[in-house]
Amino acid sequence: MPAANSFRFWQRRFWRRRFQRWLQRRVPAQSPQTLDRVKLFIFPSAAGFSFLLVSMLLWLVGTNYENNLIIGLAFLLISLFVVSILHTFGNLSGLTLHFVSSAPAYCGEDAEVEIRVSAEGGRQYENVLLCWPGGSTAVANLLDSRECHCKLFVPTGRRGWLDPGRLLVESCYPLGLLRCWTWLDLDVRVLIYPKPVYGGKVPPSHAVDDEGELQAEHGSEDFNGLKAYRPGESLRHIAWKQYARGRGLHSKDFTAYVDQRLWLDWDFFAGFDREARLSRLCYWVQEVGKTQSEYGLRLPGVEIAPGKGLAHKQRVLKALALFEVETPARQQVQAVPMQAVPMQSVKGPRA
Amino acid sequence: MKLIYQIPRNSLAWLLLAQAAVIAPHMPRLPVWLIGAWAFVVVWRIQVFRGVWAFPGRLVKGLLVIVCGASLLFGYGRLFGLEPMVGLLLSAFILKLLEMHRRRDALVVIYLGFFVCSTQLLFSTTILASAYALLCVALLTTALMGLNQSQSHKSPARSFRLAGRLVLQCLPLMVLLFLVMPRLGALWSVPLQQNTATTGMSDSMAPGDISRLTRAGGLAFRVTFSGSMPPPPQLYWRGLVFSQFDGRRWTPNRLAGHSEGELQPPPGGSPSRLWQRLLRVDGAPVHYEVIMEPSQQFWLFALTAPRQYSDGIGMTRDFSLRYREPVSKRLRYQVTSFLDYRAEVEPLPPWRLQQELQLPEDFNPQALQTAQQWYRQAGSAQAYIDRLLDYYRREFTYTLEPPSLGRHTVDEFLWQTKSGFCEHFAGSFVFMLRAAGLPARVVAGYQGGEVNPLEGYLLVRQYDAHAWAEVWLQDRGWVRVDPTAAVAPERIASGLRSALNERDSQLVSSVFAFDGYGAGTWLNLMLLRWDAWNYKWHRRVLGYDARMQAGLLQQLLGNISPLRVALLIIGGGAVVLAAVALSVLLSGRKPRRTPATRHYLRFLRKLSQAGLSRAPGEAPGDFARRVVARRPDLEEPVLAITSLYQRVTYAGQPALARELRRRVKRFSAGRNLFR
Repeated sequence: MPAANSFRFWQRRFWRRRFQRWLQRRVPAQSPQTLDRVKLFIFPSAAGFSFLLVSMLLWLVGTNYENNLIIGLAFLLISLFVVSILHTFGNLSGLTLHFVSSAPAYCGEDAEVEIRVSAEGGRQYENVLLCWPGGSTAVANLLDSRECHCKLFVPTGRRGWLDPGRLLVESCYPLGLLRCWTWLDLDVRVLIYPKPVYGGKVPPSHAVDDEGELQAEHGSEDFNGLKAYRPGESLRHIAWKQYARGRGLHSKDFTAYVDQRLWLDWDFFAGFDREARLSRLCYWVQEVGKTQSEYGLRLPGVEIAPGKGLAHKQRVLKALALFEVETPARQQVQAVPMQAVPMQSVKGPRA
Repeated sequence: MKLIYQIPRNSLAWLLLAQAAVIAPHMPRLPVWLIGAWAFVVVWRIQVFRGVWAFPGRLVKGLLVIVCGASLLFGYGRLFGLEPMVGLLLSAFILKLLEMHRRRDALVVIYLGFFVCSTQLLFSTTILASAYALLCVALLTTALMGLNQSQSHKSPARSFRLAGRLVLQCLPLMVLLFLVMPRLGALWSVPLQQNTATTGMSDSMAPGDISRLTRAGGLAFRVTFSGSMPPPPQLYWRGLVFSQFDGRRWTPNRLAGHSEGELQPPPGGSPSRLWQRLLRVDGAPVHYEVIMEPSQQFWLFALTAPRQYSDGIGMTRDFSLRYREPVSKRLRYQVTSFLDYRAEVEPLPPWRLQQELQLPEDFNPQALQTAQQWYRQAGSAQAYIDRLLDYYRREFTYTLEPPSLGRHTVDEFLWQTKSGFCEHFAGSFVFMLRAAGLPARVVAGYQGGEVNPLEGYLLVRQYDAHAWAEVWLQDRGWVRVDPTAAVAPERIASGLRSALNERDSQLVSSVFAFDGYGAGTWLNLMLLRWDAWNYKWHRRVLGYDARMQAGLLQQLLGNISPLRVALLIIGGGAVVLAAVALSVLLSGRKPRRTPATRHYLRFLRKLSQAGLSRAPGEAPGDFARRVVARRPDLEEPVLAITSLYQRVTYAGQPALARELRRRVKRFSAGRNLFR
């Protein structure tokens, strides 16, 4: 019955949004965050419920056989359950999570986020699981160390600033009878570059074969001086006048070669839509970045002067990533309700 | 490729260890093949873990289950009953190892382990067994913890320490729950232990039976008197009455289908047929509580004549007590007896006379003849009894190893061997009385006991087993006569050991040594102390029931209402949990300070009172220079203390700590007027 289904869908959505709002108020976004009573939730796991069932059965056996020791054993198991509430809670409470850095990623790849988990005082924390829905799971163990760095991978949906949503921090340690967890918003932002798409060979720019002309044309790249000629250098660069004066073979040194400068232009891909253009430009940036050429970027309203090197490449890619991005994409946290999410099977929504 | 869940190495190791620990106490009860199957399964599981073998297929597993089930069924002949059920549980516990594919399967094994751990307490409830069960729980908890530790966890000892701490933290809460949670009686009947050998007094008596029992050793029961204890010669623990004699063996009467007549509930039950009416009591009552060791028999032991007794106990026509079922586990019961009594004073009706005068034909002709002759000569019953006792006293010896007797046991004993144990004396004495026409019967039970000086209770052991006689006299009813007392009066006054000659003592020396009879030695004292602990354990822990609980709650709460009990649980639980919470949440928060640091901190406090506080992160040396710059007058002590502190802490000269303490103590920043 589609009507009922759709009703249920809206109902679920309504509750999920209410929960999100409530969570937003209770555990606001912030980094670093220290886990405490307010932020942590705790509830028996399936194993915990069956453990209680085992205790009840033992109590029944003890009562029926009128055996005080078995009744005592049943009470011991119940106490174990109760005491492990404190231990499980204690295994998260007091932990501080700090969003350290994120490495930019191309759209479609998993982005790497580094989170520092640290503990005040000398308390020990074991088997604390961190993960984003759909992402990888990292395990934090703070046994003899005060802090550890966890690298998490989140799936990426579209370019721009990615907010992977709330990070699930959970622990069932020590006995697995209870699950203590929280959903933390660590204000994580990951820059997502456009997905590179093959856009043909990188154009040879303004194809010129005579640097002399260009030199004259631009005027800024001047004759810089002479240097000793090394075999293999262009004969054109040899300073014949000096050679004629008997000063040996020298070549003229220029500061720049204009023929290696390349403008990656929005207009190359006329007829494609915005994302397609960006993807292809992104591919070119990758390709050109492998060479020693200098390149600049021209987008409507954006111009980045030619340059080279990693920092330049990142600047260009960032411009591509953030070009005309609407509101920062926020992935909805999936399946937030009380039960554990089977992390490996849930895929994040694709934009 | 399907990924196979591998349970963590740490957890598997602890799981196998816990399994071994849990199965170990069942070993003597288990069929040998099951232990073999266990070893086989463990080897297979380890090989699976090492990646050498694969998990068994469905066929192999099915076959294993069928073989185990069938072997149990054929081995025990039935599946309903305690032992076969425990066997079944153990087989499941063992075989599940081969099906441990997922984390959930490992959980099932651990949970089954808790059940198996509880079944060992059905068979043994001693202090040691309980401590062992606690160890098993700690091991199982370790395995459970291992499942929740990261795969790379490499420190098994740490897991066990943590689990042990966890279990210890649970104990206070467990004790609270144990004391306060309401007790229900058995909800439905459950199969109890069967096929176990009966111990203690058996239901018949032939020459040699009791002396054998004496050598068996072991504890029969413990008794606590609420008032003062009667003197040892009065301590006749009456258990069985034998009225039938077949020439060799004495057996109880059969009355109304029951071996000794219908059972009589305690007074207040049904008032119509009271054997109690046959019993007239006088004098002061003796109140006592008996904790009886399991004997797998119905009969209980009490001083004559019991008047009041706990529920579930009935009295036979011959005034002995019976429990409603065989005593298969330690039983606690209260009895009030009157030592001054007259039983069945009214003249015996003919059918009773017939029972109490019954003698087999064609046995002991000489005894029959002599009895009638002596009775005629004596003239009265009392004189005849005295003559018999005098005969014993003059010519008989008391020994644990009497010569064996032929067909005419009484004749041979009285006129040929003339040496025997209590059953010989009691048996022949009753025979002689009956032969003279006096109603008499043999009574079996225990006599005496040893007082545990630590707790003041009486220990009655198997070697206190005894047999004596009761004779029915006109106007006096049944009167206890103990012919052994005539032969070996010290047996009655101070126990078996003093009555035996050297050779006999050696026969039972192993029993004595084990039961700590050698009075005064440190070993004996330790054994007595151990027994005192056991006794307390039985009374306070195993015997803790709804009645004791009510008493305790009354003491704690004044009057018992559900609200108050709930408040007690919640309040007590909160206190206990708060302590645990503090230890969990604050653990490691305060680093332990060395003495030198403590002295230095004291020095800092003194300075800060004078307005000179150390900035966070400021090194002691920097701080000292800053202090000296502001307070040149303090230069000498400040620099000296700082240097001492640095040398103790960083240069490894702990011997200077005392000097540091002395100087800090003497130090005064003074002049805080100028702050």
